Amino acid sequence: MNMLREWIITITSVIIFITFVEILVPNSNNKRYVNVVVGILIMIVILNPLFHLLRQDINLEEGILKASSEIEYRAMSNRMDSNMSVMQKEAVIELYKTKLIDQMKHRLNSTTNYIVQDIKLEVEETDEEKFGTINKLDIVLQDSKKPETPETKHIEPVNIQVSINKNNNTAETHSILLSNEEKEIRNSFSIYYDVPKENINIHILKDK
Amino acid sequence: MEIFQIVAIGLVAAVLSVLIKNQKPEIGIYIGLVTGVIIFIFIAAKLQSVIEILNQLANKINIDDIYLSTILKIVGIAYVAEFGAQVCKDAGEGVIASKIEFAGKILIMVMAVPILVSLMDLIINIVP
Repeated sequence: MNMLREWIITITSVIIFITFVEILVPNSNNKRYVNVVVGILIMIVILNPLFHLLRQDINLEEGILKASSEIEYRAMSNRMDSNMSVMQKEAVIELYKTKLIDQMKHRLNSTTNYIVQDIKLEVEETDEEKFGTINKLDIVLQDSKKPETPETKHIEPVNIQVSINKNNNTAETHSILLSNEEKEIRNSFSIYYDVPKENINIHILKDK
Repeated sequence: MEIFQIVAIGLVAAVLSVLIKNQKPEIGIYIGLVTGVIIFIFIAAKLQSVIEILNQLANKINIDDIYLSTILKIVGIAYVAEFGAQVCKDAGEGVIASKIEFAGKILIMVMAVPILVSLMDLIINIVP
């Protein structure tokens, strides 16, 4: 029942969204093309629950990403066929890196609660056989998506007891949690992108 | 009301353009071009806010971000291509205008093809 409810809400809101978009589209030939894409979108929205009922392991988004990067790759290689130079190679690598970084950011944003600050990549550029494999990965994350710290926060006085046997338990658990999540991210990234685990560095900046 | 400002700009530019066209037709083209850009800039801020709201609406919907952002991108491409094509047409360069429209169509297609392909893949996979 809940699923049905969600389905109806999604369809209705998508249709409202599309009505607005239709207003925005200029009155020209292009309108037809927009309508085609909008039709496909409505089809996907209506069929989506069906897909999930029939097969659980469906990821449309990944397919779209794959197809779009393939198109870009083909366009790039078509352009490069005529004359290949170092400049163009660099441009391809740069494009590849930005695509990968975008994908990683999206992945991290949707699966974890961290804000992605920065991602640095090193890819294999000289070896022809392993060209494009990720050599090293540096990820800088920021703790907690919504920094819910109001400006006028009342700060209570903190009593610090300096005694040797009193461990600060909360701090420890927090750090364990962090390292667990870090491990998870590292695992999933090393499997997904085929990078050795020791070459993935994850830094997490904590909110003060 | 911004619509009065925009209409005023448009009317003034139209009168100027008509007055000048007899002496120097090329300046009429410049006037048209600049007026178009000014009106576009006027509206751009409003358009941005509308698109932001649409984005917020899209975030509330339980559907992958990629579809809605693709549609917004397509609308943007359609807009910009239309604008450029109109300016070229006003300047009397119908050929260039049609080339711009053509480029816009191709770019829209490039955006749409991944969605189409993955939908096709899925349907082929599901049908036994």
